[in-house]
Amino acid sequence: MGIVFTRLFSSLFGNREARILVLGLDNAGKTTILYRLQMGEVVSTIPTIGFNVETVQYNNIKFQVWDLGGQTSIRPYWRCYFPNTQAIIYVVDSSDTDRLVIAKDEFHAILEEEELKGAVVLIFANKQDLPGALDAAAITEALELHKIKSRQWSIFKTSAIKGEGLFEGLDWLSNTLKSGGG
Amino acid sequence: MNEKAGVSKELNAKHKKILEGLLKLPENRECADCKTKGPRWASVNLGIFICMQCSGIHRSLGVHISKVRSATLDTWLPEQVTFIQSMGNERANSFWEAELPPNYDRVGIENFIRAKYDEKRWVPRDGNPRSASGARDQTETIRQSDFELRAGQAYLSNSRSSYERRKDILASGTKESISAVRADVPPPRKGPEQSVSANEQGKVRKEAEQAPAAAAPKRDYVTDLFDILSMDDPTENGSVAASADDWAGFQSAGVGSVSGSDGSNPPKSTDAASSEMEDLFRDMSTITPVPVKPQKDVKNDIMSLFEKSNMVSPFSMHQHQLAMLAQQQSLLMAAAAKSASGDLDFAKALQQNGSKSMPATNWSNGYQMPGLTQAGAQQMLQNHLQAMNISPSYPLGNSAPYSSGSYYSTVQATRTNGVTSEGISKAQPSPSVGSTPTRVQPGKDYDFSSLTQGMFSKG
Repeated sequence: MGIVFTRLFSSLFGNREARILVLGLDNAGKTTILYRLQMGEVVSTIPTIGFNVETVQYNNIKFQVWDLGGQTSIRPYWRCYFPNTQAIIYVVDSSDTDRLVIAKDEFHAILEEEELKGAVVLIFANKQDLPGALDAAAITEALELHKIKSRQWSIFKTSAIKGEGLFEGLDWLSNTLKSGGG
Repeated sequence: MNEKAGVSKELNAKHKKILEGLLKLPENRECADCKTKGPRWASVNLGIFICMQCSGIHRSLGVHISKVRSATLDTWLPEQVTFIQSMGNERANSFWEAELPPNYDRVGIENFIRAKYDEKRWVPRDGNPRSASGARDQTETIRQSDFELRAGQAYLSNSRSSYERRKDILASGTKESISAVRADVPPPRKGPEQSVSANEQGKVRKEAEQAPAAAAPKRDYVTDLFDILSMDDPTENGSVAASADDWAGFQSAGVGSVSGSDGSNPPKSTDAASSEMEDLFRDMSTITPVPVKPQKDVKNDIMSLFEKSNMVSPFSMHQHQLAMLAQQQSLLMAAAAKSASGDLDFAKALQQNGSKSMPATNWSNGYQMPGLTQAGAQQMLQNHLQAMNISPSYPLGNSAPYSSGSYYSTVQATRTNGVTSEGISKAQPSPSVGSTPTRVQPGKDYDFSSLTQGMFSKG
């Protein structure tokens, strides 16, 4: 019954769809974020070798969210998923200060990609619940976000465990995409 | 271009070799925490090898406690490799599980791991007979520093000179380095169990001292660097600070003057140590290699890894399920053939089958799920089962209708885990240009998208 209704609803109001890639170093919290968004729960994860993909309906947008594994040797495969992507969610472990440089390098390598030229970028400074986590300003600095040219981007402090900041980020994303940003 | 710019291809290959060698050691053939065979992951700062399930738990602790890397999929820094060479599961556990009751029930491995590394519930209470609690904290601090790789620790990077320096330090008495570290690191312990009898303390100390000795044999084949180390090991085994912690060495070199207060103790500790030595080595010779299946040659492709990690998963009671699956497969194949739409019932059936078992990740089948055609889906299911992949992951993961909370609390979030592996080139077509339509379209045909929407509207 609900199915029928939802179907009717979506056909009336015309849901948009958006293809989103969730990227970031291993153990940044990508999978946890994906399932937090999709189910509203904290799941216990294991390292993602390959990908997870879920649909998240939010603000009348159907986000098709791809969460790709972040281990060093599988990062090169991210590019296989780049075409037709409207937005990147780049997740950073804000407490892993040792690897922020690597996170920055990977990030800017992604932005160089031709196939992602049109994608908007949402950065999640994740793991704010952990001791020593850097705030959004420090992550902005560390990732050198000011170097981003001709692209819409935003950064949010998040804690996937506590569920903080994620939907604020999606709000920004849906607004940006609706206004033609993607 | 980017990661670990300092690690060249050659060095990385060398690291891989070393790690493969370490993984073949009896002590490292099972997970440091849950004892599952064939660990392929590691905590680089704790210097241990762990299984994939436990790696997930370690990751959840945060990098201030454990930094997880894959022994095969990640690039390691030289100091991380060097550290895990000097540590390993046995030596690490001699510290982290020093006070662990012998038959401790490890059911609820997550709690166990948190207690072990976060609460530090079973680390040695004290090797120092003095009862002042402050002093105890300090000795524990230094021990822990021996058992962790700290950020910025130039671990043996200039081996020769640090080795010499360390030798000096050790010669001039163990306690020096203890007090030196004390000067630098605040004692982290909030130990509730402060009252430990002298007897126990002695025992604990014995175990702690065992560590360096136990670590010695595996250094045989590693780099020259380590030959130097192991040469110096037997003589200095007794001292508490004998672990190769150059960091401590550096510190004490700088703060050597602090040593005065404890200077009277060293003779005692060396005595105790030398009396232990025999025992230690006897113990070591009795270490029987666990009856592990010989590791197959380690292939480089990701696939083989995950076949293994599936097999060693504590949850995969695959032996048992093999028979069951054979039946289910035929059953499901029949169902698949019948219902051309591969519909909800089908998925449910699969889920039910799967939910009896525990999470197995579905990469072992080597199939990509995006852009599956219907035939592809069926074939994939077949392969799922053939690969003994009992995870309830339905191919069209994003629209599969079975995401219930309770399911996820037991089953890890791997259900739509796809494969990027040797077959990654296979994957390319699916996510690429044509894929979005294909992906969405089948969803409509199967009526899945609307089901998912239904879920949202209800939930």
